[in-house]
Amino acid sequence: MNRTMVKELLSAALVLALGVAGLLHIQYGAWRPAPLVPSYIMPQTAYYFLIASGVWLLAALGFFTLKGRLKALQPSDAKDQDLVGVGVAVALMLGGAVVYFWLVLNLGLIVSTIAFNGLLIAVLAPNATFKSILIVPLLVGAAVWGLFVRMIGITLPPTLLF
Amino acid sequence: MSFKMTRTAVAVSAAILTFSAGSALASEASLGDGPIRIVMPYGAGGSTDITARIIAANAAEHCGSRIDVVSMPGAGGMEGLQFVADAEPNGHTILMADYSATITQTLTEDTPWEVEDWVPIVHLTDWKPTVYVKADHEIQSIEDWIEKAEAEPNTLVFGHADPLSLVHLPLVMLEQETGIQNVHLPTTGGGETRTMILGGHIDLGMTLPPSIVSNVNNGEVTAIGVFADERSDVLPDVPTFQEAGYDVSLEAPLLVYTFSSVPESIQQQLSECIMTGLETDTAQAMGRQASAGLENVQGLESAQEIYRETTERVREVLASIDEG
Amino acid sequence: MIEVLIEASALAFHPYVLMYVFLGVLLGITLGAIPGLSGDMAIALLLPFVFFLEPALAMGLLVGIYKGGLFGGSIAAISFGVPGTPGAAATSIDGYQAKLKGKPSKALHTALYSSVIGDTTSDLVLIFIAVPLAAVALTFGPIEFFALYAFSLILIAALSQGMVAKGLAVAAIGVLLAMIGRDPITGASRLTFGLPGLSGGLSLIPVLIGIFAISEVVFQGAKLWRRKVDKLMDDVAEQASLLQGYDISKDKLTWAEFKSTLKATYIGAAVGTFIGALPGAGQSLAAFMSYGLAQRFSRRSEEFGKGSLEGIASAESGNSATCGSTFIPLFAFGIPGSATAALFGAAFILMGMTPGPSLLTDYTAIIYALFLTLIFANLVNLVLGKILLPYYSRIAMIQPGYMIPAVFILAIVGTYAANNSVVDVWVLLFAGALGVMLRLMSFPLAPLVLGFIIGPGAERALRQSMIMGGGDWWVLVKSPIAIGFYVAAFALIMLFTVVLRAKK
Repeated sequence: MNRTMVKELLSAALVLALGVAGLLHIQYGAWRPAPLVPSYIMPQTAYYFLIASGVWLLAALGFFTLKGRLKALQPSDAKDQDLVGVGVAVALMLGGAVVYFWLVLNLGLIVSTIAFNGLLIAVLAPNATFKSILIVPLLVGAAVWGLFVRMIGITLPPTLLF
Repeated sequence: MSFKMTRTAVAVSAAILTFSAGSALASEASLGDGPIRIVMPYGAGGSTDITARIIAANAAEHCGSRIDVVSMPGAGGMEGLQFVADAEPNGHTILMADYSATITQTLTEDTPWEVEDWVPIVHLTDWKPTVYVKADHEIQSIEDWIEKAEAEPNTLVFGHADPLSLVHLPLVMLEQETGIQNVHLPTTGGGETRTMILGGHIDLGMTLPPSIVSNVNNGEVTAIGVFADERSDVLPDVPTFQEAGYDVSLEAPLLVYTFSSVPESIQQQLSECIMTGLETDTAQAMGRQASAGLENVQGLESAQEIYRETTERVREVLASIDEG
Repeated sequence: MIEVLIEASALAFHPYVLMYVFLGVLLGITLGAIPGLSGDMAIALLLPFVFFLEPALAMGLLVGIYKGGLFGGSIAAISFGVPGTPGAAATSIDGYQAKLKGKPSKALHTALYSSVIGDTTSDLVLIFIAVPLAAVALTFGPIEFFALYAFSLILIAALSQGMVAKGLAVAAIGVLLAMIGRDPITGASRLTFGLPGLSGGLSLIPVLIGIFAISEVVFQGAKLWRRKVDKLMDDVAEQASLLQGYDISKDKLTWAEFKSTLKATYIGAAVGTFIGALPGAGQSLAAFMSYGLAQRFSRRSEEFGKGSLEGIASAESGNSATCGSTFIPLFAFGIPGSATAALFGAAFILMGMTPGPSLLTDYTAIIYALFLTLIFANLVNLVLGKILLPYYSRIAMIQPGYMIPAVFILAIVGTYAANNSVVDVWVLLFAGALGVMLRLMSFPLAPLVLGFIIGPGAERALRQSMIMGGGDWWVLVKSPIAIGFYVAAFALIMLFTVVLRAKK
């Protein structure tokens, strides 16, 4: 089992699972009755499409495996993803963004922006120096202040700092 | 660096002081300075937006430093109401909306507030829902409509905005009063309804008078009836449904609200300063240009009275169709 | 006519008006370049001041902001793969690839020229054939709209890079995401997973920026982190930054290259002008449709998605060509066909001019001045763009280690500021995570966004048609326009499969 195989099987499983779960939800969920056409007509069509494309994926996968041409499934210029790197980036950036925005709402926009920007540069910038970690976030903070606070007058709940 | 530290320390201690003294300060209850936000649970550019900006431009000097208009259409307007409900109860965050946000939604949806939690402080104007058709349609009056609908029930297609909105409830009431039946077609709003009427895709539609004045004067559409106690100022030739003999009227008051946790003295103060601002000549001139109907702005008592009345009416209609 | 034109020119080319147009374009480009923000927001903020300005001045300012904003969105799309405005999403597909290949200046110039050409076409259509085109737009009822939406979905899904099955699957996921919230016919909440914040549905900006931009930025972050780790482990010398290796004089758009994009630009101009005139269809749909059609008719369609200048030209021209025609329903019937048109309508109202059929007869001079301003603003856009682009190209090549975190933060704060919505920020991050997952599984992303954009319209149109037709499915093919769309979709798919077979 190579990586393409795993990826395609996962895709098919995901798509099929979503389609089946959706159809079950239509069967057993509470849908407000609508005049003339059922109110779940559009989601239902989407679920059918999901299931159909899942089956299509599996069929194509089987066909190419039998013929021994699995490579044909992969776009020619695709590279294998760096899964560890993506994992780190997701945790740091998306996870960090949740914390960051919570801080924006509770601590203050500018303070949180400077802190989060500093953190990102420290972890991500390949040639970050101590000096750039201190200076660049201040510049970004100033830009955010000028744009969002001065020009647009962003609406935020009252916070502890600024 | 040391400068920054002191600033931070001051800010922190000030914040702590404010929090601990919060309740004590509230009992003194005065509006004070600082910007005021008018939250509007709709997108920018609509009639409510225009009226809110007229208030912002004219009432600011009477209410304190400045007034910002904030558009919060998220979650069907619920996010706007939530923002006002969660704000510090000092009167600096107020709501401007018609009844579909504060009454209909509260009665039909699961909301963290009750209808009574919204205290109207200014009654700006009354919108009069108006039924209109294309100018070359065979229906050209209320009588034509009722006759045709009685002869062939469920054939006339009636376009309205969201279900249970202020341009849909009057239709429901009329159908209960007369027993006629129409095909109800929800649209995204006044613009889509008008496109469908002009394109001949549907028979009737309902909207607010200022948005169709230009089409009526140009002879493209005919307004056939108004769901109000009196005729609309901008469409003086269009009869009300009461004149035609059907006792159906549901005007939509446009109100400014505070959340109920705001002390009464602040409500009073806000109401007065907005009224003063709207009575100025500039405000009246802006209102006339925009057909915003700001000639007869009413204060606290009138606003609360009309809010109570409207709540009763809406509650009755919703109960009769098993909603809410 | 001549007197009117002279009077209008006196209004439109007053030095103050010119200055305001200039200011407006500058402001628009700046705001449009920030993800989440757009010219619309600046126009909304300026509305109360409109009352105190001369109408010609106010129009100059607003038109400038609008046009600058449309082009500004493509700057971020090309430089960082982060569409600055929803309309620029299609531009980011090829624009960002071109930048990665070290051609930011070529990409940005293509975007600028195609944007100006598309926009000018659309303005001329507005000025000369607004009334007939408006009449055509009115013949689009729910039945025709459903056919149009079905046509665009088929077009994009069938076009997707890689497997068609995957394109269809993500288009379905996009439609499903758009179904979250309130049922348009019954008003019931659905698919909200019990979260009250979702009852109003997901908004376009966070979904679009999350899917396209946040996922891209996260992947960039992953690459940066890997390089940093390698550097720490092996102590290898950091490779020269992009900026040091970048020579802007080698990155000039040649005349031949410009000419090769013209066909795509014209396709975009035609599609964009038409879609813009339909109330409610929107910029993003216009951009994606032009992109899809240009790819179909391109001689080098295999380059699309890999940094094709034609791809940039078609998307950007389609996006900008909605600019003039979006006013057609507003001027002809007083119907605002887009958010921007609604804001301009509000501005007209505040200046005491009610939008609608009587506008042109009652305020002839002002409206002609507005027309002249629309054309003139394109020139300003071109000149300002030419002056600024070399700097933007360099910014695009600044070390990603510093740029990526800043862009990421701007996208978050900009998304919040667009609607003042906290829910939108969580949606943005969720969409970002979804985008990362789909990219890892090599799903194409464009069909998802298109499904999301047209899902609600398609559903409403379908159900409205059925209500009007009394529940009879045949109602969907009872309109010649609708039949035309279905036939065209079928023909294009046949053409595509045949061409594909022939190539193999």
